Amino acid sequence: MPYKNRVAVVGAGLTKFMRRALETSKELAFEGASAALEDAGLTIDDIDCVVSVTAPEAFDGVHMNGEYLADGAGAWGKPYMRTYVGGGSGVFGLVTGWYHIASGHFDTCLVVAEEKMSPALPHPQGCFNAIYDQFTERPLGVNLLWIFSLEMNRYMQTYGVPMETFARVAQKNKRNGLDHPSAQSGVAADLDIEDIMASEIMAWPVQRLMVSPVSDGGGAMVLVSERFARRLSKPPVWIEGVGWNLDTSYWTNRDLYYPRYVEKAARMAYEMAGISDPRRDIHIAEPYDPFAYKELHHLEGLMLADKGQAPKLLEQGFWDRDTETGIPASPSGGLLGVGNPIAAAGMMKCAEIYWQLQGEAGPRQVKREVRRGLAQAWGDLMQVGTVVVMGK
Amino acid sequence: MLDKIGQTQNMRQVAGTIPIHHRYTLGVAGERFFRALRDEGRLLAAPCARCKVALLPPKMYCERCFRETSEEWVEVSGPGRVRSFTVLRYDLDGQPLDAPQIVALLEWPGIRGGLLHRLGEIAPGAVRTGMAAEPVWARQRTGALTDISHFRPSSD
Ligand SMILES: [Zn+2]
Repeated sequence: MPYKNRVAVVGAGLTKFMRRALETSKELAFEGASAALEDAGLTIDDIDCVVSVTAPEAFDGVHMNGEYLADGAGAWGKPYMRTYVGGGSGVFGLVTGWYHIASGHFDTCLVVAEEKMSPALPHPQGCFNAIYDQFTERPLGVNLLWIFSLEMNRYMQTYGVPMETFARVAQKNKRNGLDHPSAQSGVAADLDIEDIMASEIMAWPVQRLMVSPVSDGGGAMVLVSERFARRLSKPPVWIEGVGWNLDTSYWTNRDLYYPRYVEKAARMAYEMAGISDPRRDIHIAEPYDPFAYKELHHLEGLMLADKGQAPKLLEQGFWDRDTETGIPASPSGGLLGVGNPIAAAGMMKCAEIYWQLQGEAGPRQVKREVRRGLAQAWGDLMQVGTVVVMGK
Repeated sequence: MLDKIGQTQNMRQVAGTIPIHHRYTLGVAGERFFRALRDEGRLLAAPCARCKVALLPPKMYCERCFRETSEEWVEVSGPGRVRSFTVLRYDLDGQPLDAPQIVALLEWPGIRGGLLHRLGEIAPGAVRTGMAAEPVWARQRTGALTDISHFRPSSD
């Protein structure tokens, strides 16, 4: 191992996800951080350094949001950094925390994620117009829905995937979310395929019930070195692999039907974890699912299914939470079923893998035995993939 | 290369804005603090049991020991003291002000934090660090920092 320290996860915590939280961004960060410290049986005094993640500042409407969040993240008097890759930030926060400890420089790191989208009016989507090129894209009034619709359409057309399949992803995740204590009110639901299919078309082919909601929320995880982990009573979960990768920032230059950047990030993480056959060695997955099609798209990028095959596996129940032989995908409920406070949603996915590996996922605990799992996120200008592999 | 960079007369410019405005929540602590300001005309502080100080403005948590503050908030009593001050001559847009404005950082004993506010009813040249100042309440209170119109010098 070329790293000074092997890195363990020893605690995770989340706030409830909400459409509009009373809590300020700092308060959400504090609540998430406190929950994670409590889960780890540690206090802030045990923490050597702090990493925070939050996505676009335009949501909170606070410029230099990392600095604003610092005290809520527990960073007073400590080495602190904010790391940022847009929607990929939640998982990337764990990657950043990992190298703080892997470097040998620190024994403990608190990684805090927060997102407060609700301040942005008239709708947080408006912020996203400003991520595009001033001249070639913004004059069109682009928002993310447009772009996702283009990508989803390309994926559907390439493999001939029917709309019912995407509705089934939404149904699965929204049902899974019913068992998640952080799930946003009204987001987790037991819905008929027909209801999902009949939901409003927002930007064809994207329909309302196949899109994750706007959310406020926070979460955190505690990472420690091996020698620190050995002093704790709870057995650790190890970070076995980390990976991240960027595709081109130009939509026009990207293979919309296949997320190459996710494949590259996954390969990096698998190689580090010594995984040669991910379908054998990954037992549970939390792929990023802000839109129903993205879960399938990402499962293929993660090489847990052949290109174009994730929809067929879905029909066979391969991704279901109670599968005996498949790989449960988004057993948490995912962004579609729990909510999407962007950076905190990525953290929620990491936390789910941690709790599943600890056997602490309660009613969400998967049926099959799990020794290794992964969380993945995506975002930035929709060209970043971030992956963390955890094992016990 | 330098020639290329110099061709500013050919530069086309397009004005643009990010079409977003924001609606902020006060937060758990802020809600309570500003409610008391509006409804009771009282300045409240949130004690931290561990650090043995009260936080003003109140916070839900103490950033030093990273624990929740006490629910038993205390009133900030007595005048504050000017820890520091400045005299503004220009507004936010760089326009000269009709009259200079004094801004003071006020502190209280036993309080971590304090308030930044306008100081009035005193000539700029007469302000001294350490002088006592008390709040003057606005006629109409809305639950904002401006419910205090300004601070003015007071006896100890
Ligand atoms: Zn304290």
